[in-house]
Amino acid sequence: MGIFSTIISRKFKNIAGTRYERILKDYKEFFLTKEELSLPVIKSILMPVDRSTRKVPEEIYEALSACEDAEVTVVYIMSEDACELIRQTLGEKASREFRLKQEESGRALLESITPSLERLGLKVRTRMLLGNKSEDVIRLSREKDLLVIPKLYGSEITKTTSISPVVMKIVQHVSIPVIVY
Amino acid sequence: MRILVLVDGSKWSQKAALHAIALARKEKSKIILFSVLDRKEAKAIAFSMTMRSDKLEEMERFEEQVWKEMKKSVKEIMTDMLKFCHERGVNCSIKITEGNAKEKILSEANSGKYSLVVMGAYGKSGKTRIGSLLEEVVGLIKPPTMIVR
Repeated sequence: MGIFSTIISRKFKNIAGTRYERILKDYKEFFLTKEELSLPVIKSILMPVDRSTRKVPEEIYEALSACEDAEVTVVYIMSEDACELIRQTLGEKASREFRLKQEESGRALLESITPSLERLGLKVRTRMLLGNKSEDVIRLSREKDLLVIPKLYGSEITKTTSISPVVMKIVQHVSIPVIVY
Repeated sequence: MRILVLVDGSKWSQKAALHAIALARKEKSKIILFSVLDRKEAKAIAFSMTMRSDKLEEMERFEEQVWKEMKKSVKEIMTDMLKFCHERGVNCSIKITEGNAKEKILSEANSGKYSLVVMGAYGKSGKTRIGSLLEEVVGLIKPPTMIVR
């Protein structure tokens, strides 16, 4: 399919002459190289979830079923900033209670998603951590092949937002493919 | 699974097609390669080129030339991609339409016919910044959307 390579070859090779190799190098960003032509293989998937994940759509399971033998890490990140804010304003006890509630709902969410993924033949790992949703997802995605994230991850559901700013930040900073749902 | 791949001719949309093929190979899936030709793009190119070359009277003629070239080029690209899919045993078809890219993409993607939309993260201007079209449409597309880089 090296469309642009073909076009460059067909239209410019004769004109460029000896400069052809240099042109190919300079314009590499704009056309697919031979190395990039192979079909991607997804072996590891990161799936952050939070309370915006009311239900993982069937289409996601359908797409993931194509990633044979992949390992899915389903991660629930509790906001450290929120816990700290509650600690500073309402005290240590309120912060601890908030965190416990977060852990409880996180565990329930992780447990509800895991069986559906396992049914697809995927290996599932679950993680729960206290941190920063966008920064931790960006960091964790560095060792993965695919990120699958809800559109409203990290924000409250509003009628004015079709995608959360947290997700936009993540999409801009990760270097792997992302499925938003 | 029916997968809609948004093709703008950039390297990133070609990579999007590769990901769609990888997902479509296992299941009995179909890929639809979708491209929107926007006359405004030809207008913008014609305007910017003729302004710089001091030949404003040539603008309309040049716009027509660019438009024809855009149509020809997208057909070539899509046909090439179609062939690539068929060679890998993937059921695939192409759909080319004219109009406003954002409107046409949203109307097609949200038609209820697709379970996944796949698109490149960047546009034809390269990796300088995330595609502006992506920023505009990704939240408004109803099916899950895969953004490829």
